[in-house]
Amino acid sequence: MGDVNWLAVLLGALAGFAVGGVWYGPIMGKRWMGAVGLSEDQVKSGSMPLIYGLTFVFSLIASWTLAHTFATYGRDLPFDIKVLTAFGVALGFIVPAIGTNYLFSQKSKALFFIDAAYWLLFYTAMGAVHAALG
Amino acid sequence: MGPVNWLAVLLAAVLAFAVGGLWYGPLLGRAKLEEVGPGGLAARRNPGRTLGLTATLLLVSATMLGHLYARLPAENLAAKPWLYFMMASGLAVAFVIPALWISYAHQRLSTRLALIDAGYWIVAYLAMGAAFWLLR
Repeated sequence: MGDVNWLAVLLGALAGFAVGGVWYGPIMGKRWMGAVGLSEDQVKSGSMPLIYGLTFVFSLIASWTLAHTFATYGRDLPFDIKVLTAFGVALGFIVPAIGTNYLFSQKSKALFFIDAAYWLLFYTAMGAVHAALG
Repeated sequence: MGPVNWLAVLLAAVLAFAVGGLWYGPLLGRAKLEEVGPGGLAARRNPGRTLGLTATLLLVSATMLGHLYARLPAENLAAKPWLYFMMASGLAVAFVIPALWISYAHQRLSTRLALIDAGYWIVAYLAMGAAFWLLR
């Protein structure tokens, strides 16, 4: 279980986190706020240290598990297959789950596509870090 | 994709769907409704489209799960049948729920809603794992 590259775990989580800063900042920030129905003031009123702290801890959990999966079953997989595996986790498990929950809570399609695309980018970036560092 | 057990894929999707009916119906339907507000449940407003899309999405995840099991060394799964449950629940706990909670936290959704929806994914993934274990 401890047989993982901890540097890759940390950097993989950071990569996903950084992608989030860009995706929900300059690229989709305004559209995301409109789709959620939050104003800039409402967004700022939340507890940022708590929200970003949780985001980072949850990213670390996902990153460690990906590392553990590769360490157990895919040590010798080539770079592109590792990235594809990470992408597949997002596409096959996370996007459908989020889709189901958003559908039932009647969230907008725009919000679903913004968040779904984020998870695909997050896992691609995280997978690339693990593939590069092994 | 490897030797995917398509019958188990189908059963997994059906079980996850049925678990959803219980989870968001008699078990936690009322709690969920309180969280999303009156008229906030798509299943009541547009049941055909909602349930059809849900079934499709669950089938996608069940297929990916089938692909994952098919890629594992068969002797591993035969020697350690609990892997079916461990891997399925691990997917829910380590990948699906962290992603869901990150997205929910940024949307300022309630902890209660986050727990209701996360609980469903744990039970749904265990049910899907059980389908592959039953039909192994």
